[in-house]
Amino acid sequence: MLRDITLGQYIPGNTVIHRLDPRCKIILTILYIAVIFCVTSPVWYVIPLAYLLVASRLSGLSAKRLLKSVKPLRFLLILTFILNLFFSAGTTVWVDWGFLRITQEGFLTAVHFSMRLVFLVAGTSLLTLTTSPVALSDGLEKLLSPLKVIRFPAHELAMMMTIALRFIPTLIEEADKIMKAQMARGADFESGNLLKRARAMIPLLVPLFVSAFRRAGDLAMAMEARCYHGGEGRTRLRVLRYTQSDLWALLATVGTLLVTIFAGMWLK
Amino acid sequence: MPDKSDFYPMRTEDVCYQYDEEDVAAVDHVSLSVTKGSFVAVLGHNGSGKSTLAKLMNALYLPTEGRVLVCGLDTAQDEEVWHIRRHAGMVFQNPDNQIVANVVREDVAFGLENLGVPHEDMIPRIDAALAAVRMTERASFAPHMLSGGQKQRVAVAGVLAMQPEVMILDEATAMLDPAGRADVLATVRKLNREQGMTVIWITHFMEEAAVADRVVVLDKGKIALDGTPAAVFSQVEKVKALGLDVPPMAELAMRLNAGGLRLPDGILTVADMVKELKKALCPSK
Repeated sequence: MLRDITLGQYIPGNTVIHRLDPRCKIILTILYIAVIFCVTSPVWYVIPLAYLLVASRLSGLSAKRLLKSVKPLRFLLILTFILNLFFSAGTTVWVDWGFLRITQEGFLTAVHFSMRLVFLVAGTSLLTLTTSPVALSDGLEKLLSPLKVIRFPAHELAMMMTIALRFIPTLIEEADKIMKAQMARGADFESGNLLKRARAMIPLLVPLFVSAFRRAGDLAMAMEARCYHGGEGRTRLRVLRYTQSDLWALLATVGTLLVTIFAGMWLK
Repeated sequence: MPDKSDFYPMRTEDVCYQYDEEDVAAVDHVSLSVTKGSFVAVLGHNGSGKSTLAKLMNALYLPTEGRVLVCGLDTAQDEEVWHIRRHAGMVFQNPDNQIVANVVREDVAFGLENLGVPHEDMIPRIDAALAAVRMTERASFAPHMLSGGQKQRVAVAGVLAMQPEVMILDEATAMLDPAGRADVLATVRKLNREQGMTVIWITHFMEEAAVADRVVVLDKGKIALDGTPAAVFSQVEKVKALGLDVPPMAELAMRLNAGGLRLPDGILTVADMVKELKKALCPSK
């Protein structure tokens, strides 16, 4: 289906994981994050590893695909590793260069924190890979709606997300058009150093912003003309329903969390 | 007194609108009653006040003088505003700036969601609206995958699903290519003919106005001409003086008459012209 083309990193599919209720998937992701933070020793990453492998198997996505989403973070990962390696306190000294010391504890911490980062990103990307952005914003709206009591703008937030997603392709198209128009007038977007290139973006960004504001004004009027008056009394075309598989997934994840907590208590 | 609002779902009574107090009136004492089930074209060049008039018709603007009645409801009444906007559906000029959702179907649902229509009732109404504009096959498309004409048809479906009494199209074809323009016009004309939808079609293209039941020409915020397309466009000199084109056949008829022929008024299409010329030149047949 073309409905979610190229938005986010969603890969359409029809597996058990894809069909889970988006609300449930958001909760599962939060629980999964809790699992990661309950891991007390690098050894116990086998638990989230097993969890992820099962989930990726069920979702039809390869573990390789999940690891790919960690790639943009490789510099942060290396930095985390190095900082923890050199600057953690410890007693078992491996290398001592005076101002730089590598200790066994430092090494373990470095591994621990890097692993934590990898698992965090790989696991949460499973959510965005299997859930369409529209479903995500729907789920988020529903989950946050109890907070309306304390005037949290749950509906407005979801509406903003929907509109932002809707206008991404439109604005990309527009930026492309303006860029070509400016190039036809002799603008140069490609040469020069970073500062020069950043400055060359001004004739692109100014018209883009002006047009985006005009669009926003038009859209607001069109929405009002179609009786939009906030989230109150609004019904939805898409109704979210929990199914049996949501329950099983929840039980499995809570189970994983408990196992992790006990494992941590048993072996620190 | 019988209720006029049944017969005239849209009425303006001596309506004026000024953007600024010092400005000249964009709409200047316009009184217009639109008959139920008719297709009325409001024609005018840029700055004639036609878009302002459109926005007065569903309470996006409130008149500075006079009143606007949508199905008998005065747009100045604050508490009726959502009823008024439901009854007077509006399609705007820019196809990209009026589609809210990421999927065609959900955009058609947008108005219904705002009205609080229960979920079970939405689906048949959406399906019917999409079928009426021939977009059923593209119900699950993203809007940016559609052509301009298709996007405007989706916008028409979005309004149609709300089951309005009047549909106002504010230069809905101005940003489309000729094919898209013809497509949208034909779709809306068909809705008017088959479902009896009252249509107010605002445009600056005279060839679009020519297919209407009634043409209202606006100039400087005032009604300059009002009548059937044949009656309006046969006043070739006057229409031209207002800065508008006349259909080429109307102009040709005028020139032929100036040259000595006696063709009747109201020739707008090539087919009409051929028929009347045959009559005038070969009376024996």
